[in-house]
Amino acid sequence: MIFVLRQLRGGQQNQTLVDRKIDGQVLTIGRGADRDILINDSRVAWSHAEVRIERGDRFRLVVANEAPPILLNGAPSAGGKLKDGDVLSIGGTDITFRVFEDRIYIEVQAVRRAKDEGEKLLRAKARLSLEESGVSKRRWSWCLFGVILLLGLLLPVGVRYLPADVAESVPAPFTDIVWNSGPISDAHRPFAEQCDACHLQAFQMVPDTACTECHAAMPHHVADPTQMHAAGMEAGRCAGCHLEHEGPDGNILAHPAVCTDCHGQIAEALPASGQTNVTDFVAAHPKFSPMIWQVNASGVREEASTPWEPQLQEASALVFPHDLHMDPDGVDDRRGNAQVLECASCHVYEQGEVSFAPVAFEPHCQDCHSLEFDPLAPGRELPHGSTDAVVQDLRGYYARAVLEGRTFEEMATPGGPRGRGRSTAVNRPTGSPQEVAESVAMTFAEEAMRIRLCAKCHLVEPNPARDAGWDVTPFQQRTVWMTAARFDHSRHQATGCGSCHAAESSASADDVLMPGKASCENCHGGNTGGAERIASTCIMCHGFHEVDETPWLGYAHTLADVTKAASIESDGKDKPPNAPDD
Amino acid sequence: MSLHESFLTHARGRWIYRAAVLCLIAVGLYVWQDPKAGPNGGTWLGYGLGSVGLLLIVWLALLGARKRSYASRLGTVKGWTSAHVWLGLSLVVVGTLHTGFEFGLNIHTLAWVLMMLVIASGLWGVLVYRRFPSLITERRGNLPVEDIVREIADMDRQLLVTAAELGKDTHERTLQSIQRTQLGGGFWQQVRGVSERAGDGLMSRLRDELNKPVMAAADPQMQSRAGADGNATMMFVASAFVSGEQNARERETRRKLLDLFSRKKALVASLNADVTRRARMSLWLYLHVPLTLALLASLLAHVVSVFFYW
Amino acid sequence: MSAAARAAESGMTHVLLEAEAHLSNTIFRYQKGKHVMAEPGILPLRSPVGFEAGKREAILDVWDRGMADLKVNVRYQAEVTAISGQRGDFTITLAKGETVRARHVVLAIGMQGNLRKLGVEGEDLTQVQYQLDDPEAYSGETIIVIGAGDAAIENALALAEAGNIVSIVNRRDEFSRAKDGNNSAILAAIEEERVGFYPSASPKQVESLPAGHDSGKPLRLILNARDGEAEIYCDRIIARLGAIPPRKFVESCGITFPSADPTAIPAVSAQYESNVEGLYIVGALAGYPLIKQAMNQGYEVIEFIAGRPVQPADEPLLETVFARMPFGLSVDENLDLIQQVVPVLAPLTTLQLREFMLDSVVHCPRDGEVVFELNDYTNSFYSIVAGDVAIQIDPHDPQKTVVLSAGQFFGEMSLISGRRRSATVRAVGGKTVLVETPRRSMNKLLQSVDAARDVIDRSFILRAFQTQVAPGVSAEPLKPIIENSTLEHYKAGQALFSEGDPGDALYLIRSGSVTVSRDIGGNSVPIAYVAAGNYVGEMALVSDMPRMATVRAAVACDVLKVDGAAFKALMASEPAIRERIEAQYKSRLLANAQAEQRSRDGSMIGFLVSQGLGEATDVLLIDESLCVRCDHCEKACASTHGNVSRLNREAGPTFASLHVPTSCRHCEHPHCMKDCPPDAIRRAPNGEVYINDSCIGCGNCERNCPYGVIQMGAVSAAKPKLWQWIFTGMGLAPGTSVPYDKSSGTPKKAVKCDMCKDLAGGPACVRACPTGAALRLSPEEFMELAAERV
Repeated sequence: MIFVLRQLRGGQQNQTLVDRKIDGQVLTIGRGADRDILINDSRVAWSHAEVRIERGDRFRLVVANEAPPILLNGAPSAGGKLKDGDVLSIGGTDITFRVFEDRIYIEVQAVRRAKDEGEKLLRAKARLSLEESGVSKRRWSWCLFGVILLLGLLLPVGVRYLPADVAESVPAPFTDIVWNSGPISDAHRPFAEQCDACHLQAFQMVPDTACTECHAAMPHHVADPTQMHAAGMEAGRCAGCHLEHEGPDGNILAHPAVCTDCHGQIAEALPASGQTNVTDFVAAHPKFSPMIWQVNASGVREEASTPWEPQLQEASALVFPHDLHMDPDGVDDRRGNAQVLECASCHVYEQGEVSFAPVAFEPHCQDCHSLEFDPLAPGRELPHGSTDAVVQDLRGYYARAVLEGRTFEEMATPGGPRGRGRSTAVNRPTGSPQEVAESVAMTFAEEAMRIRLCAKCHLVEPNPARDAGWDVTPFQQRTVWMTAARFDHSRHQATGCGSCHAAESSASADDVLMPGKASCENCHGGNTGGAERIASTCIMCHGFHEVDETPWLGYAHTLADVTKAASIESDGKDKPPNAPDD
Repeated sequence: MSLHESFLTHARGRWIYRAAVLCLIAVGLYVWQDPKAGPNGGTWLGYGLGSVGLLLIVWLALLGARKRSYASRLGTVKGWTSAHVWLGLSLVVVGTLHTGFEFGLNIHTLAWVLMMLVIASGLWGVLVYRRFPSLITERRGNLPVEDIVREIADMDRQLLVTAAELGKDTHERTLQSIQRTQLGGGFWQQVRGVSERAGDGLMSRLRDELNKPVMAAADPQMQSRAGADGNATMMFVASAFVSGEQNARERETRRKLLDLFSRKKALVASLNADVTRRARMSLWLYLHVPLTLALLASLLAHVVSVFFYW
Repeated sequence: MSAAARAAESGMTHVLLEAEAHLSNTIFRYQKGKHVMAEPGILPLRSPVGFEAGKREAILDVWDRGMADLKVNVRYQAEVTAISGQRGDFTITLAKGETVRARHVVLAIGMQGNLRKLGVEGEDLTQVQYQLDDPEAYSGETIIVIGAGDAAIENALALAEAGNIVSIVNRRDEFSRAKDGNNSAILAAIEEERVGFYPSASPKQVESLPAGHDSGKPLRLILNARDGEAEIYCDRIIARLGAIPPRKFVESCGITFPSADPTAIPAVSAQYESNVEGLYIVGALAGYPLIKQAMNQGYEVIEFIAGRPVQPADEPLLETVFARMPFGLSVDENLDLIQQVVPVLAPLTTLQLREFMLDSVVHCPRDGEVVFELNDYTNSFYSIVAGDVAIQIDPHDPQKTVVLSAGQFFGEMSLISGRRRSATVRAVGGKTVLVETPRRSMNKLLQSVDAARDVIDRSFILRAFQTQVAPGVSAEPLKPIIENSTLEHYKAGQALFSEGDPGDALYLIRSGSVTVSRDIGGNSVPIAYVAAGNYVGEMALVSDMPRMATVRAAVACDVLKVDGAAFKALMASEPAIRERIEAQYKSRLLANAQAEQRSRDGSMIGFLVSQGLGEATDVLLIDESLCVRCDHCEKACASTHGNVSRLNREAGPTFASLHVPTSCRHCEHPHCMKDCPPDAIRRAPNGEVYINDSCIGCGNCERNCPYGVIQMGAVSAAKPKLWQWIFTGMGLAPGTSVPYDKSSGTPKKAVKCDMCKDLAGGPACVRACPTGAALRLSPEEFMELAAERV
């Protein structure tokens, strides 16, 4: 039994047959080069099917599993018996079986149809991929691109250059507000939405003029900036330190670098300043130098800032043992009642609790320290504050006593002045009553100053220029010791005075009771602070903009400084600026 | 190493390392730096990261062009894709550090959001590309789509021929159903899955009908029901088929017709399923690309505005 | 006629005896309106009568007027029946009994008087014609034209034109005998299916069918076609098999023929004088069918007779050819030299040789200069005129060589099998002079001069044997083998031998290729693919066991069957050969075992092999688990190759997510190369199979490629604008495959993958794959791949 493969060539019109005899029991069909029936059609598997001869004239069609279905007489077939006249359709090819007694003719006819209308239609109708679905990435892309470019760039720029009145009428999302990079500081809220209030020129950094327009009174860092500029130290733009869009108080920089950029190298860069380099409060910061009184070589008392050291002494010209006065059991007042004193008994805040009011005699000392001088005249006290006044008062007193006819003895009776620890024997004065009165007054004046009254608290020195020949060295009281830094006592109340000022143990008024840097460091770390210490950067104690008086208060600007505030208000664009922060 | 090396691990993961290094450098600098006003886009690092990010984004966007300049010898597209993916991911770090974590309702944050969205969609793309190719391969035969269409067209042809033998109205019905045949569909239809008119449900129902011929033939509202759904023709053929009074040859033809129908439906269904799978595989691009353009626009606005109001 | 014209011109007494009532019968009987060509174009015309390519009518007109103007003495209806006598006194007897006496006779009768028949049963049926006067006379008929000459081609084309269904039958698969014009014309027609084509088919039988036969045709032609026995029903058969010399008549004139071969033609001197002095022969009978040549000869012969020495028209051309010859000889001397020295060219007439040389090139390579390298893809033929060449038989050892000396030739292996060079050939001694002849003109020679073919065939056997089986063995000991070897032809699918047959012979594959398959579990599993130039069947000889595999011809094969006994004897005498064979035996045993193993478990290899990757040198494989169907591979191909993609990603089978797209595998022995008339399909040094510009668009390769990776298309210059498209979507998208546009007028040509050999950085398809799914692999590599996939 042999297969005769009969290729029907050239479609209907030019039809010729090519026969090929194939011996063997199997006829292979597929796209593979080595198939008996080679069908070059992508719809056909490389090895698609086989026709096998079983016992004589029985034929079986075997279709490969993964192969696309074969049609046997138009119906899909997974294989099976074949009989004469059966037609197999694989892809675009029909294979007809013609069985004769000695041979099987297998007519292979390629049904090569040109794309017909139906197919064209079907394909035209079919949309088999997202591309074909008509939705275009490109279109969407451009739409989004356009919208964002419009809202994000074109409108903001455009609106900015519109005449002001028109620009105002443009609602928020279509203005340059969309460029706002972050919340404006509280101080500047009032004009938060007027970008051009600060950004004067496009593509130019915010100039200082934008700031000084309002902050006209703002002093420089140092009185004479030129020397700094000479040293190549530009103070930089206002906005260099005062960043905006950084939150409510983001525009005041606490960062040490703000100062240390210059002060870290100021010794080299600006020797004239005589300053040492400072980079960190703990690591690199000079000793405190309180202002204290000192007697210089020529014996003149003068103020000098003196590097702090333990038991630092000054020439205070005062006799005031803190320890005695702060005796917890109290000290007797003139009536002998014990009074318990504490710091606040004498030291009273002033100026926003940064510094203290000076301690004065009348309010603070007089309760205990009486200036009576004549037992016969209780309540009669000498004046405080001027030695001339004291002398005048005594002259007057004794002149009247003489006129009233009191005798010398009466005046000098033990009940009298002499009674109280008189040291010098007083010779009985002679002469006219005026002379007597004069000499008694002088005697007692000297006695009062040198021994009985003034010398208790004051330094009393002989002074021929004075009538009494003695004088009280004046005592200037100090309220601010550290003039370059701001120390806000109110924030330190919790710690108690003693923790910084060793008053309880101070026996002399010459003790400088100002704390040293070390005691600050108990709580205040350097720039980074640390585990249990407060991060303390420069501006915590030091201000930047120099203020002539009260530098220790730093610069805290007030509405008054902001010359423009009024104008802003009057513009009526916004509510007036809130109270400045200090 | 596999001969087929995925773009993810291109050149033994060269770009994974490079992207990682980039991120580490960025994070390192970010941690190390200590700007006066705290980290933000305006510090030197901010400008640095910003520029790097911008350049990266522009370069990444150029993949579309490189992919299509086929004659280009500038590295292989695979290499580019690999770099695209990994450097793109590294933007999450670079871009976010550039912001200094200062976000707000403004064009600048919009740019960041868009960037993250683009990256997210890209990530989705990568996942899809790992999953779907095999899926598509599993589900479909070796037939090119165009050939399936050709096959369906052939079937339509056969259907009409066969139907013609069964008289005018059968032919008309067949014609109608052929005209109703839907291959693929609109965007969402493709993505959601083209509604297949020939469900198995129908075939089983059909078989039931065949089993109880009399009723099926008689039952008028079955006709109407058939008329209602897209399978009117098959129901019609079926009902006529079971109504009994016709000769063997006609029976045979009808059986053949039904058979053709079911095969066609199956083919159409599988084609549509394939269309859907391919649609879902490429869906992400319809986000990725437009978002990228949006990103570019917002970046333009961002950069200009930043220096416009310096 | 030309002779007479010249005679008249130069005032000789002459008479032109014309058998018919009109002049130049041959042209006269050309089909009406036939376009007559003036080949060979390079040859100058020297006849007094004008002649240039044109319509039959025009030419006849020119001639008639020319003859009239020259007052040529013509005697019509004067058919010559006999010529007797010798130089100075010839007697010519005419049919009417009259006689003419002449001093010289020029025989210019050609052959048309004596057409060649089919030579098969039914050759004389009325519907079997050997002439076609007017193609317009037929239409709507199914007509088979047999023959591959110009006449056959022109008839076929004209008939098709006239609305007939025409098929042309060619004994070979190339139309190499035809003029170039006709050649490309017919190939184009075949490609466009205006004409059916039966290559390498020869008529077996013609039977006339009873009227009302269901084919509705009066004739059935049975052919032995390449792929089997073809049965064609037709109305008419037109056989244009050329003509054979009217031998009886010619011999009656005392002229002798060199061979008994019916096609043989009388030998003539360079002056066209036959062995009968004074009796000259020109034209087809002298071996020169071409009109222009014949006319020139007519002119020249008169010159000779008049004693005026004249150089043949092609003299200057030949001079340039021979310019390279070192001996400083004249053209004639050179020709003589070559003919004396080179036996294979001996059978040629001087005139054939002249033409042969026209196409050839003379080389004088220096000592050691390489003529061609092993595995080169050239296929020209070399004859050694002087000096020696050394053929290196062991690719690894340049010392092992066979020296060929003057008179021998080489390069015929590639010439015949169309394969790579099987060995490297170097010139030695520095005195070497070679004549290189291009494949086409060599084929022409082989087909027209059987004697030459025999010589070459014989030496092919020897060489094949020497290179493949017995390197370094001199011709002597191989003699018995050669004698006992037969050249056999196998049709596609035919078995050389089957599993279990006794091993009685060794097979050397001369052309084509075979598959080795084993019956495993009831179905035959191909385990190897053996290509031309190799041998099979040695295993049984070595092991004395029955055949352990079946070997089938994959395509039509010429196979050299070597007698087993003789071969064993050889192995006994030549231990070297034995070793070699046994080594080969062992390696094959191993290879087969592995192949079986693979094929059995249906693993990747099985799949790959079934995809024809067994014969591939480089194949594109797509990992579908990575492929995102973006088709950038196709687009890249299109955009880098004139907007015609040579790759169809989607089409093609997939196995275990490994996809073999429809793209060229660059087969070891490309099927497409087998049958390319202009030799346009070439192999680049790196093995890329590509098509050069000389493609004529015949579509043979497309048909021959079993993987359907060659298509007919026209490259276009369209340059898609990338950015314009990206931004606007307008214009051509990059990588679009521009469909063929008939109106453009550019002809379709064969296009196929060239592995981007001209692009730096390798194949564009792979470079363009974004996911790394596309990969080009060499065989070694996909073994590796299979290993990793299994």
